Amino acid sequence: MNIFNLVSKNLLRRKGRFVFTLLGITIGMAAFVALLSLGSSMQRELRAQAGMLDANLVITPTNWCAFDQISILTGEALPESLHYDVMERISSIYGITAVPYLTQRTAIQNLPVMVTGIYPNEMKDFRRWEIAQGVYFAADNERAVVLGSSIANNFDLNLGDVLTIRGEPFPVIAVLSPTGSNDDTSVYLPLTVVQEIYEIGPYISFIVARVSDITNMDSYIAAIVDVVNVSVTSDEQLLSTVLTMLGSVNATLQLIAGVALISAAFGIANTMMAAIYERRREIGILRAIGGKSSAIFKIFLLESGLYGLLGGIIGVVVGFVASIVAAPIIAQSGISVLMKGATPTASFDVSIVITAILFSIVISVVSGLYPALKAAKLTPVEAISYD
Amino acid sequence: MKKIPLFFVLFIMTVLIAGCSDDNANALAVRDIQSDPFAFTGELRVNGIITDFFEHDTRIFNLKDTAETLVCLSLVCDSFRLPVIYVGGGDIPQIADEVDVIGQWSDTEYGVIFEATSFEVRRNIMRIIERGPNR
Amino acid sequence: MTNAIIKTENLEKIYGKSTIKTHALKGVDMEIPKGSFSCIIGPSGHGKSTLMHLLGGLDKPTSGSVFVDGMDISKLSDNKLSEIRTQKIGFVFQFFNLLQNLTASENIQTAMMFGKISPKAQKKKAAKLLELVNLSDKANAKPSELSGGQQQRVSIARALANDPDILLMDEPTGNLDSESEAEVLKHIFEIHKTGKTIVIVTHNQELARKSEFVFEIRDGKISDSPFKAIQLGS
Repeated sequence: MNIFNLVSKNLLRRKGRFVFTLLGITIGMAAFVALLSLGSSMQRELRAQAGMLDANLVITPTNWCAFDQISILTGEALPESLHYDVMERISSIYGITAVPYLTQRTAIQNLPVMVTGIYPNEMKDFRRWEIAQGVYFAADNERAVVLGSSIANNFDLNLGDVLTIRGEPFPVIAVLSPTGSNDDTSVYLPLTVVQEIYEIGPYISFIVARVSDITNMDSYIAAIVDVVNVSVTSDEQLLSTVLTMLGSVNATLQLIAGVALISAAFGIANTMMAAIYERRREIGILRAIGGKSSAIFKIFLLESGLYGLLGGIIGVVVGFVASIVAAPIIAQSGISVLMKGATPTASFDVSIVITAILFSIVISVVSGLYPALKAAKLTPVEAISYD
Repeated sequence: MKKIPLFFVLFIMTVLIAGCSDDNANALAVRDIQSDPFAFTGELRVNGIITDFFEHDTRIFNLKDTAETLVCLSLVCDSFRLPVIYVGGGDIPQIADEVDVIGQWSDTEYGVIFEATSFEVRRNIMRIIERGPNR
Repeated sequence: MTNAIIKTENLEKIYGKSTIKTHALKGVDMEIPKGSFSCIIGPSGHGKSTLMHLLGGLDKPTSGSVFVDGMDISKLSDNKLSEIRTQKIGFVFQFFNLLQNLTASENIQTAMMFGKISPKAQKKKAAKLLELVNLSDKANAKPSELSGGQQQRVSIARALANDPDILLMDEPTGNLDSESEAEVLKHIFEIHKTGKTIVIVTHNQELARKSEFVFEIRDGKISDSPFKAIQLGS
C-alpha cells in the first residue's frame, strides 16, 4: 500500500461520481483542445496560404482600403487602378522580378468566377505552374483560356469547351495542375486580351514581386516608392492583418473553452468538498492510525490532481478526434458553391498536448486545494466524533 | 500540394469578410457581376445598397456592393454602381436600404438595364454609415 | 510508580465557548503500568471517551499533562503526535474502524504505510497479523463482507500493525453479540500475554472484573485510585 494506491482506490470507490466529475473536466478539456488545435491549424494554413503568394512584395494603389488588402489573400476581384507604367518602372529596378495581375469577374453557369489577366510565361515561371492537361498559351495575345484546377473540376470543363466572357468565345486550351493556392480558382487569359474585352485600357489591379535579396527588403521598398506612387506591403504584413482578426476569433473561442474548464474545476472542487464531508470518519481513522495532517492534505490533493491528469489525457484525445471530425464539416458549410474541398485535417501538435495536460492538472490541483486544506485541518477527534 | 489549406482558409476568409458584410448566400453581390454583367443570364437575385435615385425617373436607382459600402462606410465611395429599374408596383425602397432585387437584364428605353420585378429589403444601413468608423 | 507507561497529571478538558461550557474532565490523575490490562468504566457521558482520546493524543487537554513513555504528549506538535501514535499506540473504536473500500489486508497495510514499512514487507506482515486473529482466509474481503466481530478482529490486527506498546480500545465489543464478543476478547487477552499494555473503555462488568486495574470515571473525575480488583455493585 502506498499513497498512490490509496488515492486510486479512493477515487474508484464511487464509480458514478467519479465518472461524472471526470466527464466534467474531460469535456472542458476536449473543447479547449479542439479549439486550440483547430486554431493552430487555421493559423498554419493561413501562413501556408500567404506563403503561397510566394512573393515578398505586393504592390497596390495607395487609395485602397483594408477591404481590398484582404481581398488579395482571398482572391476576390480587385479594382484596376494601377497604370501599366508602374509595371514597367518597377520591373526596371535591379533585383526585382515582378508580375502584373488584372483581376475581373465573369460567370460560368450563372456563378461568379474570377478572371485574371497575366503575362503568360512570366506568370507560369513566377508561380511555378505545371500543366495537367493541354498546351499552355503559345502567344502573349492568344485568345484562349487556361483554367485553374478547381475551376475545371467544379464546373466539369474539359479541353475544347468554350467559355463566353464579355460576350466572346474562348476555348479552353489547358488546365493547370493543382497548386493548393488561390491560383486554382481562376480563369487565366493574356493581359492584353483582358484589357481589351473588359475595355479597361492600360491598367492592372496589382503587382506581385519577388526580390533577389530578402534581407534588403527595406531598400527595395524604398526604391519602389521612389519611382512610383504606390503602396508596398510584404505579404507578411497582409498575413498579420488577417492573423490579428483570426486571433480575436480564436481568442473568443478559447475564452468560451476556458469558461467550460473553470466550471469543470468547480465541479472538482464540489466533488472534493462533498467527499470530505462524507469521509470525515475515514479521515479520522487515517489520522488515528498515524496519518499526519500533511498526509491527509497530500491524499486529497492527489485525488484532485488525478482527476486532472486523467481528464486531461482523455480530454486531449477526445478533443483531437473532435477537431478532426469537425474540421471538414466546418469547412464545407458556408463556402460558396464554387468550392468543394478535400478534407482539411486538424494538426497534431505535441506542444498542445503537453500544454493541455499540464493546464488540466494545474486547474484540478488548484480547485482541490481548499478542500484538501479543510480536510487536513480536521483534528482526529473532530473527525472521529462525527456521527 | 494539398488542396487542403485553400478551402479551409477560404472559408475563414469568407467568414471574416462576412463579418463586415452580410452576404446572402443565394444572392449575387454587385461586385460579382460588375465586370461581365451579361455573362449572367436568366432570372437573377442581386444584393446591394441603394445609393441614389435617378431624378428624372424614380423607378431607377443605383446599387452599390454591400461589403464594399460597409467597409468604406459611405454611399459616395468611388466604386461601381449598378443601375436598376424597378417595374413592380407599390412601395419603392429607400436610400441606404440593403436590398435583394430579383429580375433580369432587359432592353428598356434606357438601354440594357437590370429590370427588377420584385425586391426584398434586408435592413437599412444609414445609421451604420452615420455612426462612422469606430470598429 | 516508576514503570507507568501512561500517566496523567491534573488532566482537564473543557468543551464549548464562553456561555455554554462542558467540563468533561475535571482534574484526572492516573497511572497505567507497562504491560498491564486496565479498564475504564463509568456511566455514559461522564468522560470515558474523552479520557481515551486524550490518552492517545487524538485530542489536546485544556490543561494538565499526559505522559506516554515519559514524554509529555500534550505539548507536542501535530506531526510529532502522529508519529507517537504510529510508533507507540494502537486504537480500536466501537465502530467504523476500517476503511470501507479497502480489503482487510489493505487496511492493515495502510497503517503500515504510515509506519513507514516498505510496501514489500507490508503484505507479509499483514498476513501474519491476520493469522493472529484467525482471519487469514479473509485477507481479501472488504469490511462489508465481514461480520461485526470479524471487522473488530481485523481492527485489532490493524492496531498492531506497527507493533505499538499500547493498545487503547473504546468499547471494542459494544456493538457485538455475546458470541462475537467472547471471540474478540479472547484475542485481546492473547495479545496482552505478549506484553502489550491494554486499556479498554467498557460497560462490560465481567471484563472489568477480569482486568488488573479498573478506573471509574464519574462526573469527569476518577472516583477511586487504582487497585487490584473491584467489586462492582449493582
